[in-house]
Amino acid sequence: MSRAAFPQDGRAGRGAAGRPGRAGQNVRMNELAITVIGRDRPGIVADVAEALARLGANLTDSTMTRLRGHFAMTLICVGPAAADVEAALAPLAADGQLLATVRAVTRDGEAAPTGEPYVLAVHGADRMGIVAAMTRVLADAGGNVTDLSTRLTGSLYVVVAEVELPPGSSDEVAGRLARTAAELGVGVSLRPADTDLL
Amino acid sequence: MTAEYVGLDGWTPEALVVPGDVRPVVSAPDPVLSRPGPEVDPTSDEVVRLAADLVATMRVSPGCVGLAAPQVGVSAQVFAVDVTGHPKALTVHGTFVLCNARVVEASRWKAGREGCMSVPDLTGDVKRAGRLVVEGVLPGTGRSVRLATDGFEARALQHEIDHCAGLLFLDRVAGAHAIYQRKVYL
Repeated sequence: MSRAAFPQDGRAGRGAAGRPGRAGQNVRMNELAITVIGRDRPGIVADVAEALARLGANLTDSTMTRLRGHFAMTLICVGPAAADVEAALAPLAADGQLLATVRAVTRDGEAAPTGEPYVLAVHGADRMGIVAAMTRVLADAGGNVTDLSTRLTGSLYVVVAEVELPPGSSDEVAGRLARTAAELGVGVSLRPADTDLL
Repeated sequence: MTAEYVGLDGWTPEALVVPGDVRPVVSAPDPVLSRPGPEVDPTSDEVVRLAADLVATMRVSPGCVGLAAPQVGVSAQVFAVDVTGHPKALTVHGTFVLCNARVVEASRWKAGREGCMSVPDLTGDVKRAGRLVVEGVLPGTGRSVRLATDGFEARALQHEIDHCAGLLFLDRVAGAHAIYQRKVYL
């Protein structure tokens, strides 16, 4: 699936084909990237999902978590115009506790994996620049971070990243990571991701 | 193959004779936890005392099923394990201490949730062998043992052997979403 097949104006793509329009409004399918961030309270997910459902938006991939207690949700949905979603989410942000953003994006989510999957784990005393230094090593090697989480508990900082590395590059990358980790005074491990399919 | 196994043969911590002291448990990011421990002389007084201290410290720590020397601040290949009574345990060898242990056979890999006294706020999903054969040496007598185990005890042994090599469960978590803030403290 090439990126060019789905220009920015959001023509109907895979997933829309063969699925008649919900509420008759998705002749042109927009793909939207939405973020909702702010003070946590019960009901934010329900509020967001209801607003999208009322507009006939199809919620596709999403993640929601709490980052140090802050509500953080990122999602992709297909269907309505960005302006309509912005208007529908505006009441959520009215009290100033939540920030919602809506942005039309180009469909490109089906890219095939380009490298070999690895899991990078870093842990050590918290200090400035751990993520920056370690991910720069990955980037310079042509590695692509596909998932990342970091945690600070007490003085312990933990980074776990899933990364696709160019085939055959892992030994050299592991060596560079180890040198950078030593400079930072943190521990690092790079292991092949478990690709078992059960 | 069975004939090759030299089990604990009734070994208990009482064989150490010396009473153990409860030592403070260190937490990450203490560098001792990330340093591979050297092999030890299992018959030395120092190692026998360390073994007794590990057992004593493990016994006063609620929910603790294993404790390795780096966790009490000593970089060395010594650890205590006791999964007695744990609901997930299948094979149980009781309380024992091994020095210079290594995995010689590992199979039936399975993911499971692990925590650690030295990483008190986090847990993580880690793949470990469900069938395991470990060789090591008993403190005091210095007798070699070869233990076959499975399930939860196998997981505990791999976790402790990792400690002795300067590795935490954090080094083996399955992915970016496989670490969790601990919600329940034992």
